[in-house]
Amino acid sequence: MIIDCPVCGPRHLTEFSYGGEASRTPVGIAQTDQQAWEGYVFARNNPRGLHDEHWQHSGGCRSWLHVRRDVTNHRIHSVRLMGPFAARHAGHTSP
Amino acid sequence: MVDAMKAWPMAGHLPPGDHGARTGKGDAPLTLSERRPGSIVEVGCWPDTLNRMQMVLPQLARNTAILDLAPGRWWVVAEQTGVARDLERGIEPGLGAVVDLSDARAALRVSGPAMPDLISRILPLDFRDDRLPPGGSAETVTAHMNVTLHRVDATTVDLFVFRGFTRSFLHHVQEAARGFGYRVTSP
Repeated sequence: MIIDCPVCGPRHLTEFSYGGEASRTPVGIAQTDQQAWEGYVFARNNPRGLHDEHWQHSGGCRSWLHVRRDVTNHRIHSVRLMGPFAARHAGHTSP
Repeated sequence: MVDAMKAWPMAGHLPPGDHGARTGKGDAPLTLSERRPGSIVEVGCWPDTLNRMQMVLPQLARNTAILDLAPGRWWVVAEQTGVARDLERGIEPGLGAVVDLSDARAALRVSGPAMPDLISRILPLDFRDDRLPPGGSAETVTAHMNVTLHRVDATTVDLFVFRGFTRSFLHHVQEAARGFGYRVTSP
């Protein structure tokens, strides 16, 4: 699998670390509801098809990326730079 | 800080001579030698100081190679020592941060017509000129070791690794280079 890093260009999977499903919303630290925490820590959408996920280009520019990937064929639909420099990179959307 | 008594990381681990496949007469397809830059300095800044840093850094880092590694993150590599001190003087804390890596990395220069073929064996990078032109740089991974690459010209690259990985990295490169045949020259 090749991820087209908005900073570095297309790079091999070995340079990246998976950062989990991107659609989760962190529970507030003051929240004590067990169900809310259980949902955040354990529950995943696990869709068949398009999946929003976080990847870090840990072996490259260290940037965090928001990747939309089709889990049935590993086709990457979009890659967007996250973090403080995100506004300076438009990112790529595959045709 | 680099001092005159510094023990260079590859000293004693990269004996000069011809190695690997017989190369016959003429130049070896690959030449390996330790690079011994006096200064390797990382410079970083914030999104709101990026424009200013892009103007200031080339002026402060004259006669150096500036490697553009990531948004707001550069390496300044130079033959001369003391570059970190000069940069610290010119970059106030509100503009960015300076970290001296001169003693933290080992550097290997690989050159020769077989360089792109050798690099293709060990690094997952596209070496066509439009992807990684001379003067360009990249950070990548080989055998779980982070590598910072600077393409010096069409057939020469400098590879920087964490100093503690020196021997593992040299072994890895030499294994891959053996099939081509290579010459080790003095730094």
